[in-house]
Amino acid sequence: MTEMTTAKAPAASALSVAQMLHLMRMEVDNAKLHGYAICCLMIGLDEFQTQAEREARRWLMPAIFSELKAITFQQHIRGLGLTREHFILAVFPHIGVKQATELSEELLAKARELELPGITGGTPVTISVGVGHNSHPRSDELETLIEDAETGLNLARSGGGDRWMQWRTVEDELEDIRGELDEQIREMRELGPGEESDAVASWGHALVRKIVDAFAVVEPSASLNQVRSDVLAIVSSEVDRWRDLATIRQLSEREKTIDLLERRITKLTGSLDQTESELKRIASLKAIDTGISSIYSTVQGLLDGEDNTEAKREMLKDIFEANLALRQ
Amino acid sequence: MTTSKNTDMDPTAEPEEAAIAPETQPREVATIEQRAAAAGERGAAAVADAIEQGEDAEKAVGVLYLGIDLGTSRTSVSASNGQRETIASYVGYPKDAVSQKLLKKRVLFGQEALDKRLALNFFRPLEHGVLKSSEEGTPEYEDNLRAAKDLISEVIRRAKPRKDELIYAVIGVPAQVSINNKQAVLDAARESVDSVMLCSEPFSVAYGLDMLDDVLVIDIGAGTTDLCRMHGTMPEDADQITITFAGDYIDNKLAEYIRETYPEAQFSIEMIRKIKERYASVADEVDKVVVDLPVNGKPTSFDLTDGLRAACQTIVGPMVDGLSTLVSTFDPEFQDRLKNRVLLAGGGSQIKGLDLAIEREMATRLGGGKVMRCEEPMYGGAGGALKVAHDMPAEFWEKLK
Repeated sequence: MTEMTTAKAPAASALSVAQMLHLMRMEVDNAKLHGYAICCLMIGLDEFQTQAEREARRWLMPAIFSELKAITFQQHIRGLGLTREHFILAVFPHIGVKQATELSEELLAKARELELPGITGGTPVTISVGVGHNSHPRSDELETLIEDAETGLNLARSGGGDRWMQWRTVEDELEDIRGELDEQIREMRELGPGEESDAVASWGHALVRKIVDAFAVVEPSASLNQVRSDVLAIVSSEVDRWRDLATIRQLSEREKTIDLLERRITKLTGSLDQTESELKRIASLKAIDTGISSIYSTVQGLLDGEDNTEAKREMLKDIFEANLALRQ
Repeated sequence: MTTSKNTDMDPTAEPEEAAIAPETQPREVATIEQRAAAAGERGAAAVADAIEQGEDAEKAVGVLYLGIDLGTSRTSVSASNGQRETIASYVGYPKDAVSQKLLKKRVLFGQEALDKRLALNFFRPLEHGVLKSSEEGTPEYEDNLRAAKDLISEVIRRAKPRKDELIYAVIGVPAQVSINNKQAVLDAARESVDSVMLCSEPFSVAYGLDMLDDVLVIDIGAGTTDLCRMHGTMPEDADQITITFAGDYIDNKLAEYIRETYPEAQFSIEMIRKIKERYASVADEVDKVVVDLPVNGKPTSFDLTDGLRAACQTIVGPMVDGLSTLVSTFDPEFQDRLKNRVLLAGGGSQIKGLDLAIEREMATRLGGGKVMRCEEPMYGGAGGALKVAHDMPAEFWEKLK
């Protein structure tokens, strides 16, 4: 725990949230204009669900913010940051992806050391960090960077917390996996008939033709014809055997390749499914309310036994006609 | 590192919690067997499938009735799934994408919108019970229409409809609202429901309480007070009067009083509204109303007892004027009965001693009268509209889809 953490919580700044965001936006715009790197970190506490933990958040967030300040101060990193109850948002210009991830790692380690008496009760504090960076072509606005960092934070939390995650990297990995899977499937489809056995057959035909040509220059006789037939029969038989052996060898090799490819496909498909289901799970967290059923399954209408049924029926008809007239 | 710390963005308390089921509940098509029998062979199969799918999928489709009281100050909804909600009629949109990111919402409603209005493009889309606008087609009109649409969508969302249900809604509007404004409310609602009808607010209050004969309903809202004479048939224009002596009028009167009497006091109309909602009274004997208002940043106590009572009293006279008109133009044989069945409804009816004050004024000008209070002023309009929706025949709903 650094000195910064043990010190009292930071005093409220003279800058409002809107002013701070304005400064961040200017910095991101400058980075876009002058082509330098800029990263955005969104930091949140893990598993703070109970009332007591929510109370603790008020103390822990400033402490983590202090740790972040201490780390950046030691490394001479300049940045802009603001704390909210549920997250810390920070923007660091001239910081590459590697440095941003190292910063995140360091902050994760510092957070694990945090222990505020009477608040965490000995339970280690863990945080998750989402990283957004303008190295990705689509992340050159403050809004997009914050969005990337937030998605990264959600992914890091859903992955168990105590980790950093860069959403665009995950997205790129997903794309890579998809591409690799497509490549493997295409390769498997392209595996045609055996080339080696074809080569053996072609060589065999050439050999037979040479033998026939060699016998053609000699004066034909019955014994010579017999010898030629025997030689051709032996050569043909050997060529067939070689061809069978080549085919068997080739089939065996292909079976090995197919087995290897199939295993890779299974692995990649599993990985892809897992990632996609995780993304779906995160997306579904925002819309889980399925509603409450009405007590009616059919349209009701006025019951005959009611008081003033006729008067009510007339009134309802009047309301309907007034609304119909309004539509027309 | 430059820092900024701000913790005033906590979500605020939600409006009043859902309460009892609507009055129309007893007529449920109760059992699965009955549903199956009613729906025939195909329906029975669907119900059987639903049983297999468990409690959540108890039925494949259903009909959700909604009664909505679209008010200037508050919008209430009662639904046939037992949900009841009220939200303040405020809508706010984050001023920019970053505010949206921080607020984590595209649009905010009710008290939450009010609390965070500095970061929002803030709307109170209704005025005098109808869409606030100078004229149709102007940016102000379009903005308010969009806000009204979102407000209606939000109250419907808070009624927790299932996606597979038909939604039939009846919306209460002030008695004498113009056709253009009715059209605007219909436009706003149509995006969120399968079929919608409008009906007069005081009528829906009376219908909900089954008081359809010889009753004079006074529905006191924030923007308007509606007076409606019920005589066993659908009230016509001559049976209804809408006046603007309502909640907002009291707020302005009280604000004027404070400005004149305590010019050093600083306040906003929202602060005035809260004071009124807490202490409003026209009773002869009341506890002192002493509230803290800032003076140059320092909270200072002010006695508003007389000012608040006088402000509340200002609506009594115009209301009895309206009552007198409706009574005096009624069949002389039934005027006495009408005078003795005056029903107070709406949020404004919660002013302490208002019933007695009206009775006193009626005694002077009409020779007597009896005033009753609606038991649930906040949900009188929405509950009545729900009952209208329930009783409306299926073919009417179909024709208005």
